[in-house]
Amino acid sequence: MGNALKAGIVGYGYMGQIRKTVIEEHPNLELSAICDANLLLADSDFGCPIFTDYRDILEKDVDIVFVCTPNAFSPEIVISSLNQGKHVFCEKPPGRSIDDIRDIIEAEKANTPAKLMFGFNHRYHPCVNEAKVLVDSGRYGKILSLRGVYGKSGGLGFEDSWRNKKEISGGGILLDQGIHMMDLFRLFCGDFQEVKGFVTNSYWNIDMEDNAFAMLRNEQGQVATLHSSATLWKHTFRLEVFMEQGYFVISGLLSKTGSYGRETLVVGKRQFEDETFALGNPREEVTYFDRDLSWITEVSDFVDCIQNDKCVTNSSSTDALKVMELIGRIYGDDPKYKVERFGGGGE
Amino acid sequence: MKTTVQYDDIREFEFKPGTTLSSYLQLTRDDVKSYFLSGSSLVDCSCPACLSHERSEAFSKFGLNYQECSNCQTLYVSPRPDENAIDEYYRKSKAREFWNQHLLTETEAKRREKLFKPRVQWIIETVEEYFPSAQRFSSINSVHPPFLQELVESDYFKKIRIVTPRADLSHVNCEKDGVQVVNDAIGAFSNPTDAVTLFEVIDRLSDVNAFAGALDKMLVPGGLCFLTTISISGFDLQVLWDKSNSIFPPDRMNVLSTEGLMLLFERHGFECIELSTPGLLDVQIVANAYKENASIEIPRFVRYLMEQRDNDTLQTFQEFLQMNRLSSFARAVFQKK
Ligand SMILES: [Zn+2]
Repeated sequence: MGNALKAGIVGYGYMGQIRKTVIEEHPNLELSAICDANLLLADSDFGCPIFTDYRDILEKDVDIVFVCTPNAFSPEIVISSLNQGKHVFCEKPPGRSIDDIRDIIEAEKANTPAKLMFGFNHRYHPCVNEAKVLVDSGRYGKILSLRGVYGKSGGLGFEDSWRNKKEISGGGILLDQGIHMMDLFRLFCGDFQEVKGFVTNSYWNIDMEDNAFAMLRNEQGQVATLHSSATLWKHTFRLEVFMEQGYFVISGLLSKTGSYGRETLVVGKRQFEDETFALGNPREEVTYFDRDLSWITEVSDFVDCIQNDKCVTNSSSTDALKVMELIGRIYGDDPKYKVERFGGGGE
Repeated sequence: MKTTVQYDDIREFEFKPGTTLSSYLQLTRDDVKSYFLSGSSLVDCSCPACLSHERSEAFSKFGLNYQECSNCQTLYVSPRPDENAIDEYYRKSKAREFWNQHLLTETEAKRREKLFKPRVQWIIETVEEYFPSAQRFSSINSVHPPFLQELVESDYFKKIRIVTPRADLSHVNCEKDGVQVVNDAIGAFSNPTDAVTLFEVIDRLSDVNAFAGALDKMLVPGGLCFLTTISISGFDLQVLWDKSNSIFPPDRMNVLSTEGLMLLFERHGFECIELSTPGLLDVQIVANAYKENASIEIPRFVRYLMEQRDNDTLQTFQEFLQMNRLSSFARAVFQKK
């Protein structure tokens, strides 16, 4: 473990626990400290020092800080960590507002060579990876449009979760989950200049949106549509990529519970020149994925950036800023639903 | 790890015309007798996949005995001829000559379009994703000139080698295409390779374990091994068992289960990237066997399926087999760690 980077985790909830497993499995990382305001220190055996105040971790000999706290707390912890010269891996979203990510970027600029990456782990899911390779190969021509649905069923305790307390999360389902789909839109098509949105609260008794609908268009004329929802009643992840010579359907997601279904990539080839096949019902190839390496590969990417002094190009602060700007514009585009923290449009 | 399912409309007879195939089987039966059963010594062996000695007698084909491994359910011939005897067989037997002259040429155009074009694409797409810097490609025991032509035309790999070809490559202009033919045995082949293909190769090896070890030495770290084989985990082989026309020596001396295949490669330090059984023909093969001989012993449920249900159900059933790695045609990609 001579060259291993010492890692500390701030926030030991759902994500903090996933990060702990990843750190322990990673050959170039060593878990050095965990911090959570609610940890019952006496009862726990984590195999590393435990703190309840993140500032104590920053005093320690820690190289990377994994920030896994609710949105309201992340920016301050990220900025403090960067100011102490630590590398930072921060879960999405990068705070509650565009101002949050802008502040973070200022701290990042002031503290080079400290590296900063955000947890847009969907980029690293095997089905997304494979679709991206196929798109980049150029064999299917250009992307014409994208259609994304990402949603969950809410459920018991949903209304009480911190994710649905505006002062802590800053946004509803769009900021919590839709952000991943928006990030994938950018991964496939780059930046979008035009944004239209409807943001609704149609079912849940929360003070934020439980549904968001968006249409985006970029300068190349590529259009992406999003439905982000907490009222789908069935956990759903589906991204369709329509190309000149075919299409890809990415659906299901490998997850702890498997509730999003088997992770699947459908590849269809446009075939209407071939008269032996029925029109509009082309041959498809379906690939099922069994192993989710997204957590480990994204962290490996980050470790590689640190150890070999490379720029963070995947899930960078620029990616975080751009996606937050898009989300801000979706909120801002619906006059019936202005979220103050986003400043009514983010432009 | 992943598995791929394909929806296509290939029919069995397009690749293996019935009369030609039965002539080939008859020739093989005769050749097995003269090459392996008279005089040459057979050696006992353990399971080629998991090395277990626990096994039960399955059946005998062309005078050689198939064993079923009690650990991984792989089906294999033991006792069996050694590698030299096998090599001799594939260079000189009448069956092989017939294969090269008839089975390959009669179906060549169709094979190229339906089998090898997609197969080359499969290789390129996988390389692009898992080992994009790969440039040196080797095909072992290639018996598929159309594959070679397809690969050369793709212009993807800088260096293409055919190692110990067991095929007539006379109508392929290797020199013009920059293809190097290496006649060394795989164990002696030391040039580092980034990607290697084994199409129906492990099925007919005498010493699978030694071969996997040699493969491990030949591939660079990160290097990819592409493999196709028939698998005893597949529906038609399980249902037809000794009556299956696909199980016969020496072409199918090792019929590994999918579990056995994993055990074999993991033992030699490979990681499985893909294990799929994208076969299209299991149900059709059983249906045809039943049509030809209604007294053939098959499970009641399968007979009911064949007699009472329509093509849509059979098609859905075939898709189910693919989705769950239960078709008898398997393809896999292993990456050297
Ligand atoms: Zn075995």
